[in-house]
Amino acid sequence: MDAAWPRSTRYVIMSSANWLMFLAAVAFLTWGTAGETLPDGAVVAILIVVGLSVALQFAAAYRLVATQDEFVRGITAKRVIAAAGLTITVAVLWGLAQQFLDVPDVPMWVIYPFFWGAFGMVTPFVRDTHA
Amino acid sequence: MKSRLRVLRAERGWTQEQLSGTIGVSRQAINALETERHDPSLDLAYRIAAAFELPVEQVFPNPHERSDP
Repeated sequence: MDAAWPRSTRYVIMSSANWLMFLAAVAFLTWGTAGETLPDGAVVAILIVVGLSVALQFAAAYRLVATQDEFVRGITAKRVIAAAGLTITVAVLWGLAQQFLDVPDVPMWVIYPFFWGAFGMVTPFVRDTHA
Repeated sequence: MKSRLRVLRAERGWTQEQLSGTIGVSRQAINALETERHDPSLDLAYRIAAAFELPVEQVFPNPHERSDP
């Protein structure tokens, strides 16, 4: 069995690398004028880096959970469902509000950090594996 | 699910960390079992019972057992 969440050294390294990659790419594209002045090919390459960082982060989390015991797997599944529910609820409401009300436009990539933030927020409240 | 895990562990002077190492689960899992925050799978219940060298029902009393014959 791997060290329990989040003490797995491999997970911490992979996760840190993925987040650094994500934040650096998003910051590069959104701050300043890089996103508008770069040729399309370069923007596509950076977008692929962003997509990869997201996919690799979920792969790392999946691998970590797969090596845990049944309690950690069960409680993590509940937390992920709660976080996904919160994230999708907010995304749907905000999307409709953007469409029909005068609320600020929020880029869709915000869903990704929002999800992990929601995961952190629900974690203290989901403490058992019971239904 | 109720269990005698904490009592049995204390009787043997084992820490949660020691028991988790013997069984091959996290310390959090042992804590969750002792505080009734997790119902063990049959496999885990048997592993724990084997660690104490006891029948499963002496560690996890059967909550569905009927008292009448």
